[in-house]
Amino acid sequence: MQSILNVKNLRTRFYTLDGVIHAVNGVSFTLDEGETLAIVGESGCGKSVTVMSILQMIPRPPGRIAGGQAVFFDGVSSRGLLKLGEREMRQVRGAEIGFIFQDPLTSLNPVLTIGSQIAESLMEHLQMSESEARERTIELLTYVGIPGAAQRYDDYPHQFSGGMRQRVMIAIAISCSPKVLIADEPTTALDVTVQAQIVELVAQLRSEMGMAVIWITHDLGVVAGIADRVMVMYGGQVAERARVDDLYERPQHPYTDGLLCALPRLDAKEPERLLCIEGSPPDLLVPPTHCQFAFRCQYAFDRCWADVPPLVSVGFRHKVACFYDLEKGRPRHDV
Amino acid sequence: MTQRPETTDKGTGLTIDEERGWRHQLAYVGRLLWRDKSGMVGLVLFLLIVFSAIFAPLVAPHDPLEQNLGFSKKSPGWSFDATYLREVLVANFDEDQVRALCFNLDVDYEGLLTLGEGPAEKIKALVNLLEDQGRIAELVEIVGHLYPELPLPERAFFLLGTDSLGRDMFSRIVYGTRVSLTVGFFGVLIAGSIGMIIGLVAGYVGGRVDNVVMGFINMILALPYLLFVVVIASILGRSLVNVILIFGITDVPIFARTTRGEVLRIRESGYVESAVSIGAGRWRILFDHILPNLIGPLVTVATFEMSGMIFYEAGLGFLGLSVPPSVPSWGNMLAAGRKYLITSPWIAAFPGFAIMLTSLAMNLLGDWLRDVLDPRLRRTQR
Repeated sequence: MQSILNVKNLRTRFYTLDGVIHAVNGVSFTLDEGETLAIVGESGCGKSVTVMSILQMIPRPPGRIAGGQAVFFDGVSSRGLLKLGEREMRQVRGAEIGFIFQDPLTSLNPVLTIGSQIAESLMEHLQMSESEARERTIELLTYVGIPGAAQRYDDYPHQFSGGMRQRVMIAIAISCSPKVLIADEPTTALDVTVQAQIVELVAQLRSEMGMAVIWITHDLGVVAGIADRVMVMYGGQVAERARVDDLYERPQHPYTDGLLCALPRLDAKEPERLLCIEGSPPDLLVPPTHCQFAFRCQYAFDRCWADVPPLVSVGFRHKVACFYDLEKGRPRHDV
Repeated sequence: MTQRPETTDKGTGLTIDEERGWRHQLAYVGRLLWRDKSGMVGLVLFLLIVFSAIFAPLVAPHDPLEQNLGFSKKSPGWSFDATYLREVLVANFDEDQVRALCFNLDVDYEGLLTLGEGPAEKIKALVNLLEDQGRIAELVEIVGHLYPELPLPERAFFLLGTDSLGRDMFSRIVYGTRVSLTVGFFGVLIAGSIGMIIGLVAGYVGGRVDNVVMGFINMILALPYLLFVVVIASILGRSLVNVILIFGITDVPIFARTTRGEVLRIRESGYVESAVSIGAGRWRILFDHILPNLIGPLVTVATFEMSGMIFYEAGLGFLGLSVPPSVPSWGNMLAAGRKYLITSPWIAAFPGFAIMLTSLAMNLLGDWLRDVLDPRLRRTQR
């Protein structure tokens, strides 16, 4: 498989009045053509900041990308996204990498019609005329499952339900047939049945259009259904990265293990209390000098407090950042 | 199965497809207007006022500057030229006839206060007395009855009465709309365009530019407004242009602040972020996303400010700081009527009423425009 996006050692900081927030600390991953990578983790773990950094959409100030690189390879040439100027970056946004936001209620301009907001991207990137863009927009709206698309072209966002608006957002994101689609918690603001429809729609679009998808979520149920690979983030770092089946079957990081134990199970024989991970997320004002999860980890030992654990390979495409070997029940010797 | 889902908009009874053309859009606004009665009242009043300002020579029955002391301070309705009547009577009546007239009018001939001797003086005193009592029409009727051959004055009609110099109040009020609307329109145009540009720059560029610009705006706000007006008026003289400039400058902060606030809000909104994510540049975001969102609030502020300027222009006119007294303006008329508030209240009341009505119309219009220009309110709040 050809990798389309290669992120290496990405570090993003926010310089606030309270101090420097180390939001992303050395995140690396690759995205292959046509695959779905899910990024999971609790609120504030740096999921969104990671992808926003890749598109240079971090508000500056206070944010700043402190280091690392993100190479985008479109099959012909590769571009270092973090080094692109504003003008070149704009040609990537929307055209090469589409973005779906969390809240469809606020992501559409209330005073512009649905159609004009989709056509905007077509005219910007594909240099379409207004009538061409209109035609294509109606096709797109039909494609994402809006009934009576031609009639609804001139409607305003408030005339659409939440699920419909998210469909419109998806239509905007895929309008220029991007090679990568980033979905930042696209189902969080929707109710469960609509969530399922949106997940299904994106899965269908991915297989039909051959896009690679980065799906950010904290819903492990959704992840199991849609993702090829999963990246678990904690405190601005990658905790574990694995193919989806491997992650669910043999989680290697205590945090991943904890997350999976916190899921309710339909096949549980007796009703039992859900487990939770004690403690709260780490303070990102302090730069990491040890394992960020050590505060909450039941397996933590002296080394966890002395070093930042590196990502080590524990299987095929399976990496974990932990000094403790969960399967063997003892510290790792090979790290 | 039908080919096309027929989506019907319940409130208008139109299918959405029918609503496409501008004709239907216009019809839609019409229905919207019909539903919001106060907005309609505001719009109709406003259009009437604008119409009478533009076509003042056609609307006004008299020349607003034509003075005739014979018609001084006539109450609304039909009137006679008292000066002319006096001259006719002095020329034709002797003492006995004047006595007879006084008897018919139930006036004490001996009790008439005169400056000199003779029937001529008595007639002048009689006419003055009757004028004060508003009984000129009665006098004309009796004289016409007793002496049909005398050349009596024609009746003249003054809808809203006359002022102390015998000028038609209605015509002056009609011409006064020109001053008020000119000040309101150009004042808002100047303040609005300067304020919007300042607000856009401050809000969108932000940072140090924002601090400097808003500091400047606060400086304008700190100017003692009335003192500023008095100084400008005394240096540059009383003219319409100066009044417009003063309002245009002192009103900039409101527009600048409104614009800046809106820009700050919109700049951080989800839809601007999503526009960035599809590769929109600074200018596209400014013109396609921020400006359309500004129109509603700014038009609303503009109508309210226009009403405020009309109000303040009248206030300045009352203080004698606005246009020269020769120009018929509501403020000037109000000031002129102040002296006769007890004896001839209409001289001050009608300009005051005109100011009130205009202000009311603009405020109703502003409320309605705010609803119309916001697509969210347009269809949901019927």
